[in-house]
Formats: sequence, structure tokens, C-alpha cells
Amino acid sequence: MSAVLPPDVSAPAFERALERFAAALGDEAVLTDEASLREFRDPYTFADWNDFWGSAVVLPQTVEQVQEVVRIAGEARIPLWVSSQGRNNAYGGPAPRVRGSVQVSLRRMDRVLEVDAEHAYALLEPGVRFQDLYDHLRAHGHRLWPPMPDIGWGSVVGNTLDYGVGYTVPGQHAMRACGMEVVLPDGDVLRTGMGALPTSRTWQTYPRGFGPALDGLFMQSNLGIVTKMGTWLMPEPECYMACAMTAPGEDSLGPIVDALRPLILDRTIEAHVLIGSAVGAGAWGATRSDWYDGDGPLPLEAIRRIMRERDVGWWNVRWPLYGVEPIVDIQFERVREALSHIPGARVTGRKFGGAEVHERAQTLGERASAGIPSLEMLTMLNWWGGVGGHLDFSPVAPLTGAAAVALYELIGPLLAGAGLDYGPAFILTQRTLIHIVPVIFNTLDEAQVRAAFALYPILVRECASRGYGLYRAHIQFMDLVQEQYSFNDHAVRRFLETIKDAVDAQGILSPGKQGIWPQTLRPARDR
Amino acid sequence: MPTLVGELAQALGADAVLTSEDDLRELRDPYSYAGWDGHEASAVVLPGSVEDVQAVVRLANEHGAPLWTISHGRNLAYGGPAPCVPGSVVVSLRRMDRVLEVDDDLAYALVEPGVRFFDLCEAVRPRGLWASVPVLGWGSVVGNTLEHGWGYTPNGDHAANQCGMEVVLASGEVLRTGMGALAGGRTWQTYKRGFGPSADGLFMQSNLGIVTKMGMWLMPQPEAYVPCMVTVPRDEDLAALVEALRPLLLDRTIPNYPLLGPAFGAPGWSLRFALYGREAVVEAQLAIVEQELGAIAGAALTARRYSGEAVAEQAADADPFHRFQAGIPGMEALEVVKARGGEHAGQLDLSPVGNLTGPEAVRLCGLVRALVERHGFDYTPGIIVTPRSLIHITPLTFDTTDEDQVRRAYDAYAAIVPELAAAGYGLYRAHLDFMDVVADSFDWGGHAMRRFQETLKDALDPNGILSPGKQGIWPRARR
Repeated sequence: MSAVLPPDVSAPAFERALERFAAALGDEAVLTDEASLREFRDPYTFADWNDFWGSAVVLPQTVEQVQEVVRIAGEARIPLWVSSQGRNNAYGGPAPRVRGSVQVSLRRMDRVLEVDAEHAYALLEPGVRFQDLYDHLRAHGHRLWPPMPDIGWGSVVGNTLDYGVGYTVPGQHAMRACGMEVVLPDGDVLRTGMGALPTSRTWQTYPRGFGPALDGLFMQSNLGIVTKMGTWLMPEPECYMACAMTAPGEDSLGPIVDALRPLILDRTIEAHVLIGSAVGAGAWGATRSDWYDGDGPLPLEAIRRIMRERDVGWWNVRWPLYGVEPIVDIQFERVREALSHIPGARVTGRKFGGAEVHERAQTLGERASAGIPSLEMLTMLNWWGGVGGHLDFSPVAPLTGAAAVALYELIGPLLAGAGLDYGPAFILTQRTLIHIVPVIFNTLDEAQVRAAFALYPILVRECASRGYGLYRAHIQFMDLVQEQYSFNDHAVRRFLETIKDAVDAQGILSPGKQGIWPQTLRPARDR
Repeated sequence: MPTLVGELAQALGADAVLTSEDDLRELRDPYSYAGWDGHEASAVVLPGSVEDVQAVVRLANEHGAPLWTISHGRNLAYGGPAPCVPGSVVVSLRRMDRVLEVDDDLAYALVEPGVRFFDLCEAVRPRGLWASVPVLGWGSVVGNTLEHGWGYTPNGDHAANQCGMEVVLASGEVLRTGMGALAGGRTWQTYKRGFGPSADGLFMQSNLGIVTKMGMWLMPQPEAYVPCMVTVPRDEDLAALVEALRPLLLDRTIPNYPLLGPAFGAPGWSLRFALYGREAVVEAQLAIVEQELGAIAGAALTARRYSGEAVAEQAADADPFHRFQAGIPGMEALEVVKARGGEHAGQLDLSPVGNLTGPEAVRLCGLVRALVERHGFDYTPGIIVTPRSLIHITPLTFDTTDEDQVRRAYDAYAAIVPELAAAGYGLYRAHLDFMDVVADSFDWGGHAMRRFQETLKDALDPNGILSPGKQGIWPRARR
């Protein structure tokens, strides 16, 4: 029996609910032992912190079981917290916002329901990982590339619903989602878009239906549990070129962004561009002490050493080009020319036949933009030794050099002040850049974890006051981040909470997700 | 007891509330029989500001009176400006006509709902930016986008190229979606989502709010622009044409949304599309297109090379589609309607969505042809092609002065919708009179979607004042 109870639920009442969950899902699908619950905590906090522990984990395998779970929870007034694979790491992983929530893990719903090779889409259950989708496409000989973020162990659906981004086309995964099936908090099931037509042939090929489009409502959301989702795939190109540039000068950031923007806007570069830093490169498969043993921020000399020994720039840019070889060649030259004024720039490109990339791709960049999953990036987390973890801080800015530089100059010193290193990355999308700041720490070092968590709200406020909002946030800071979205005295939150109350009268579904609370729990938030 | 019209005039000024017979006649669906009732407006109110819109909504709540929102009311073939519920006060946003911002570097515009495609083009083209436009330039950019409208440049999926909204809710409250909710936010028009659920989709084809500002993405003027037309000689070449086309759309060799239709005055099909970019790239793409589409027996491809900068002059006397695909709208399409149906022609648009494979295209086109011909109408579709689907728009053309003809078209529409639905095809948009019929066909899970949409409607608009019946969604009191 779990040590943690759902809020305002007695032990006997909880016990009865667990029995009902077990009756509906099977005994093996209801976990309450401490080892299991530990597996579903936020892996990237200090091990003894337990603000975000669940009371049980339930593992439905069918849509009907998901419906049963919400019905039982509704009757027992038990808050649920939904995860797909639970790899929303750096934002809380699978851990619930409300302590004592029953965690609904959808990882057993792991079927690739359909791949349509002609229309280049897949219909997925939420337990399907990027790795699974990739394997499935390969095993069936489909010449289609899946969406692909940095790390392949997460759920395609989960990542998409949290507005995840990746490196094939299109890179904003929410923009390639097409058609959902959703279990509502009252147990009703709906299909969005053309899926509402019972005999529909276009659920995954046309992104809207008749009347208001609902799909966006179920992203970063606690209004429903997505049980099926379509995602568009990218046909394997004849030629794929993994391109890269290194630039030695710290002050080249702005010029790089400004040089690339027109090429992104005119679709010469169709995928996301990633700009990484020397410090980030130094963290690959190494620890901080390999470069520097002292306290305080990484000194310039250590950064220069990383650049020298790793043969990287202060800034390291990567982007893919896709198409027939002659066009790829022209486009490569265009990009090279556009970057030629960057001092010391070194532009390289490696071409692959689309079909042979699976065997030949070596680096993470070469793989990610070909839709090939990997786990390599996890090696960065050993930076401080011990057991690595990180918080991701991710403000969104317009795609201009000035905005990139403003964020860079703002955030670096704030991290340094907290004794943390700044290995920034910028993901360049068509009109926006997403600044990803991995705040890496050793989870065994409580003081360091505390320093990272203490810094986060400062970063949130500093960025918001300059007009940069976060696109995603750690569970502990969801309220704070939502607080910044305050136009007209929080009109958006009021609007979303009106909807929340209308569709989830019991307030059971992922309360507090993204700072949206049901009526019953709002007084606590507003105090 | 004060009347709503009186109070509106007091709040907005007498010139902002029109009730004369002439004014109200302009709010009729121009494509219906003039003697028919059923969609009369009781007044039209013309707010000039967001505050005016809020005032209108608040007064409507006090009076429990239905409103019907239009931008320019050019939703022709789908009802034009006419309200669903007779006696509604039509809220026309045409006076809110400012282009509020154009960002040259980031290629977007922020517009009010009264901005027409003509206006937007005038504002952005001198700055080296192209807006995507439908064929008719007199309609509202916001209105078209909210109806899931399409255009012919690479940004032709207007709903997908919208970024950030300001909305007046039924309560009179104003909200900004996405990053616009951040006070002083800098990415309202550059990042499509905010923090938490995305609300934008909710306000399209919708009666949940009145959109008062909207961001629209633009495309940078390309160096080279090459509109193309491919014709295939036989009706049965459709499958081969679609099969050859799909990969070129999926890999973005052809970046815009082609228009497919029966060849003019001959058997076979014609397909229009365009290429945009650096000259060398466009030439290479053209070679691919020629090779892939030209491989169909009897296919003929014509391409015309324009400079992106000079296309407005160079294409002034060319095929109007050379202008439309370059983001230059016109009014020529009205003449096409008249050419088909005479001086008083009207039409209903029947627009099911199908899949983009050869067999699927043949199946859908064959089905629609059989259905419209069975009801005595000519099959003259314009088909918008997307990388995975096609939107098969078939006008049922009639003479609006001939009641019998108009009635036959309406009867045909009502009969055809369920047949299309049974075959798996939903409509992407529908005429006022058939919104309920179409919504009825989207009944998966015992109407789960409508149940959910109406739950939202009741929560957000408890008095049911905003555009009741829009897309088949009704407030509780009228269900």
C-alpha cells in the first residue's frame, strides 16, 4: 500500500478505488509499491525530495480501460496525472503536479496502428516511442522518416502534445499532428477533425474538420487523454546532406542568426537549425573536471581548450538539406555563401543517399535530421559527476540576431551567479527561436540542485519582463510561468479554466498542468 | 423599455447601426432566391474598435439577442453575410480595417478583420512580401482564414499560416491567444502556441468569440516565380496525374497548393501550380516536374518564367492564375460564375475532402460527378490539392431569379451531403442552410464532437448570443 494518499481521500476510500482500478485493468496494471513509484518520480531532482510523488501508477492498455480509469477517479475524486512514456525529463518527467495523484501511464498502449505509405502518415497510440516508430518503419521497408527530437526514448504522442520539436520536416511536431482520439474527463470519447465522420477516409490527411478545431485544446492540456494521434511522416529524400558550421567568435551569434533567417524563411533550409555552444560540446561524454577543476564559471581558457581539443567553434551550427542532389548542391552553396562573412567560419556538409543513411550516419546531427533515434545526448548529464540531471529553461524569441544576443547576455551571467555553467542551444524555426538552456546539475548534490531550482523563477521573470515567454516548463514552475501570461488580467487562464470546469466538473484530470486548475483547487493556487 | 438597436446606436453612434430596408437587403445571401425568407437580419452594427465590439456583445447579452458576426460578408456560396437565425443583429467588422503591423524581417502582418486581401497586398508588396490570396480580393483576410479558406501560394493553407489572435468573448472579455497573452510579448506573431492548450483553432468556423486582430504569415518575394499548367488529354488520366503529383507535393518540389479541374472545353484534366525561389533551384525543380508529370502519355506542360520583383507588371495581362499564385488577387472569378449561370447566377459550393491517391481521386470525382449530374447539374469542380488531401469544390450553379432552379440546387445539396458522408467524405465548409446537415454527418461516438463543442458553447456563451447555429453548433436554449 502506498505511503502517499491522494489529497482529501481517506485510506479506506483509496483502497476501494485501487481495488476498482485493479478490477478494471488487472492486478498487474496497478502499482503501489515504493520501487514502482520511485520509477515514476521526477528523475532529475534531489533523491530525497518528494513534493511530486504519486500515490499509485495505473497502466491501461485499451481505450476502454482509460475510460474506466477516469470514471473511477471521478467517482472517488482522485486526481490523475497522465504521461505517455513519462520522458518529459527536465520538465518533471512523469511526476504529477499534485502530490498523491494517481499516475496514468500509457506506455502499454504501444501500437503503431497504421502506416500509410502513400500519404506518408502514421496513426499511433501514446505508448509508441520515437525508437519504436523508427523501428517499425524500417522493419516494414517504408521509405518514410519519422519526427525525431534529440532523444529517442520518449513517446511521439507525448512529445507532440507538449509542443516538442525535432529535426526532420516539419520540426514543430504539433504542426504535423493530424487527427486525435481523446478520452474526456467524464469518460466520453471523441475523435477530432475528420475523425468525427464515422466512415472518414481523411482523418490523418486533412488537419481540420467541420466547426472549431479542437486538437490544440488537448496539447499541454488537462482537458482530455489522447489515446490515438496521427503524425505526418517525411518521404525519404533522394539526397540528404547533413551540414555544419563552426565559428570561433563568441560575438558571431547574432550575425549567424541574421544570415540564416532569410534562408529559413524562403525554405532553402526547411528543417530546424540547431546552434550549440562550445560548453555544450565539452559536456559530451566528459565531465567538467576534464576541462576545469575550480569553482566559479568555466573560465575562458577552459572553453578555448574545449574548442581546440574537440575541434569545435564557440558556436556550432547544424542543419540538413533534402532533395535531389543538384538542388541540394545549389542550396549548400547558398548557405555557405550567406555564412561566408562570419569570421573564421568553417562550413562542411556530408551527403547521404536517403536509403543508405541508416548505415552510414555517425554523429547525432547526421542521425537526428534523418529521423534516426539515439540516446547519446544523455552523456552530457555527467558534467558534474555523480548522477546527472537537468532543468530545461526554454524561452521563445523572435528569429533575430538581436534577440538571440539579448537572451545570451541575460542568461549566462545569471547562471554563473548561481555557480552553474551555461551551455546554451538555440533552435531556429521559421520566425521564432527557442532558446534551450539545459541547467545541468548533480542530483546527489542537494545544494546544487537547490541552486538550480532557486534560479529558475528568476530566469522566468527576467525573460518575461523582456517579452520572452517559455514554451514549456517544469511542473514546479508551471504556475509561475502561466502567471506571466497575464494579458487582460489573465484572460487566457480564465478562459481555459472556464473550459476546464465545463468539461472536467470533478477536476480530476491532471490538475495544475500548465497552471490550469479546476475550480476546487483554484483557491489554493490564488492564495 | 430601450431597444437593442436604440442602445447600440447610443453606444456606437447612429451611423454605426443600420436598419433600413436597403441596408438589410445587402445582408442577404446574394446567391439565393430573392423572394425567400429565413435569414433576414434585423439590423447591422458596425463597430470601429475593440471596445465597440465589447459594447455590442454586452448589450446583446442584456437583451438576450442573437448576433451574427461577419468581416466583409463575402462568404459567397456559403451564405455570404446572412445570419443563420432570422432577426439576428449582424456585426459587420468592415470598419476595423487597419493593417496594424508589417514586419519585414520576420515576414508577418497583424491585421484587423476589415482588412481585405486587396488591402493587405497593397500594404505588403511594396515591402517585398507576398500575402497568400484566394481568387477574389474583396474578402476579409481574417474572415477567409477563420472559415478555413485556402489560397494559392506556399502559404495557401491560411489557417495554418495564422499566428496569434485577439478575441472578444461572449462575456465581453478580450483575450489574446498564444504568446500574445504575455504582457509585452515579442513573439505573438512568430510562435504559434503559448503556454498551455492552444485556443486559436477554437475560434475558426466558430461561434465562441469575435476575432478582432490576427497575425498572418507572409512569404518573402522570390527571385524567380514560375507558374505552370499541365493538361492530360483523357478523363481517365486523372489517376496517373494524381499519382505523379503527390510525391512532388510531399517532398515540396511543388510548394504551393495546386488547383485541379476538368480541362476547359475538352476532355481530360488541367492542373495549375507554381515554383518559387532562386532561379537555379526553380529551373532544377521545373526539370523534375517536367520529367515526372510529362511522363503521362499526352501530357502537356506550359511554364512561364517571371521575375518575382516584376510579376505584377509582367503578368498584368496573363492568365489570372499567374497573378493569384503570386499573391495578386482579382475579381475575375465573379465573371466565371456569370459565364456559367448568366447575369443573375448564383451557386452553392459542395466541398468534400478526399485523399490524394489516384484511385481515391477517381472514386471521389466519379461519385461527385454522378451525384450532381443525377440532380441535373453540370460537373465543374475546382479541386484544391494539398500534399495528402484534396478539397473537391463543386459549384451547383443556378439562376437566382428562377425559384425553381434555386430550389433544385438546395434540394440537391441536402440530398448529396449524406451520400458523401456515407462514402467517407466530410465537407470542409458548408452553406448556412446545410450546416446542421453537415454537422449531423460528423456523428462519431454518438455526436461526441458536437456534444463537446456545445459544452464549450454553453460554458463560454451562456446566453447563446454569438452566431447561434454557426457550423451546426447551437446554444442550449435553441437546441
